[in-house]
Amino acid sequence: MTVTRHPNNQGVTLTQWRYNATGGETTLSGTDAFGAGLSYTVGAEQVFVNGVLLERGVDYTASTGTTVTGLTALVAGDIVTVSSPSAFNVANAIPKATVAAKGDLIVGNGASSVTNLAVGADGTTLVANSSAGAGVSWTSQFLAGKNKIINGDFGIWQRGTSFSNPNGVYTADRWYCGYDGSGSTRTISQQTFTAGTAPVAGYEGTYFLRIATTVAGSGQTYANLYQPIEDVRAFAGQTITLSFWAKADSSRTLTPTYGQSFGTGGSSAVYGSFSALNLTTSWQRFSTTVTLPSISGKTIGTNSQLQINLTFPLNAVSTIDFWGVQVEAGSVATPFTTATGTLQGELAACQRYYYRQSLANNTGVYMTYLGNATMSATLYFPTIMRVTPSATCNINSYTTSNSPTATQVYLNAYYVGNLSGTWSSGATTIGAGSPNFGYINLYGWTSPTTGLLYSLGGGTSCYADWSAEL
Amino acid sequence: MIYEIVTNVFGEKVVQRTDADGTIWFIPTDPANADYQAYLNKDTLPSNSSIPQAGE
Repeated sequence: MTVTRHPNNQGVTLTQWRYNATGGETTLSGTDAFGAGLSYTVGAEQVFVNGVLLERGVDYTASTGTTVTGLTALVAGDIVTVSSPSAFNVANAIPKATVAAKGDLIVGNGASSVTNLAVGADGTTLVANSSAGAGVSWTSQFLAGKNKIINGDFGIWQRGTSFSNPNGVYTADRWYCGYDGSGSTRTISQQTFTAGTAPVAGYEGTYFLRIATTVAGSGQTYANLYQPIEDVRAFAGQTITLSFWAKADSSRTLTPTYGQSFGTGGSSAVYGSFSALNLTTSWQRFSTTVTLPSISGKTIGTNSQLQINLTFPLNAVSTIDFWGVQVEAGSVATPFTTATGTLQGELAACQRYYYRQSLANNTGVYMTYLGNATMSATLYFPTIMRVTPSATCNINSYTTSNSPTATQVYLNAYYVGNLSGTWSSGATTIGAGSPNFGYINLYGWTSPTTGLLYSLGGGTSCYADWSAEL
Repeated sequence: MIYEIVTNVFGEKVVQRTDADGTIWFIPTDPANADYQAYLNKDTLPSNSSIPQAGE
């Protein structure tokens, strides 16, 4: 008979061989009454006669693994049981010294072979990797959704690529600049990475943002480059980590700040600081962690927001470059990824707040005559905006020419030609009817043909702006 | 900034804001629009840019 069990859960099987004596036997071998052959691990076997354990080397000899000899002659009806655990070798146990440090893992690197896998860098993820010796490796994942900063890689610049003295305005999409004091002169501009020089291998950033202050000015108490994250509920009461790459013209210290703005009609704003960060002249990734205050008991008004403010030096001539801004839950700066993970996703995310519609060349915009000297077109937004947006347009005059100047437009009807007339910027209104669509009206026309669609053509600097910023 | 209330071609009241650089914005009277809120509270709200700075 063979009984299998797992004493102490160690995976050792116990085999029992049971024999009914016919009388006179001093040697045992062969099959038992249940058809199992006698087999035991030498030195680990136990031999019982009628339940009494015999003494190895005195009452019997068991040296072959398949026979037991030297027994006192058995009596008919004696029941002999030979019990033996399966062979095991403690030399196969994995020694503790295999691991060297906190977080190390023991992994297989082949049949019956293990090795130490040193713990990965903070935020990395263990993935199967057939080309790695251990079959697994730590890797940086570019996952979308963790980063609450939109346009953290400064890939979207709908408003332009250079902003002179950008006080109180948005610059790169979602990035607002504001400062006080007097006499300072600065430019925020889009800068292009030389191919292969972006600070993250495997993530070839295209652009970074530069704040170049050429005249220090005086009296500055704040100098902010911040992003308002929609809804003050964002990360409220949570530990968050701000990370970004930055470099400067010389050693500079920045202390990013945050603001919980409860919006119009809401509680008073709450402000705080991250840790001070020491920039050098080389790209370097910085991370700093804070726990945001709870919003329990607060009143949330209209347009509440969490402001993440990178800041730039006060009252100083300086150049600061930023790239790869990320804000995420937790105390570890995980590998950078944009909020959406894709260029088109980032553009759409930006256009929830701001959309610049080019009216240059053949715009695809068609106007119809409403009467009352008014031509009108409905313009649909590519993304539903946060709220019904404010609107402006850069159209200064009308021409009958097909070659308008930068801010001129013309209207052309198929088979009819360009609409004649004179008209100036004061005869334009633009507005939005909802977060989905807007309209543009041009006034002052004298009896255009009704029922026709007039194609709007514009100069290279013609555009319509729609803003639903916070 | 100069604010005016104007009526658009659809007969709706909108806020017309003229910025220092001459840009004219047409702002819907939507309470959720931040520019409209800025107009409504132009005499009481601080500048949106004045997040206190911890200093260098």
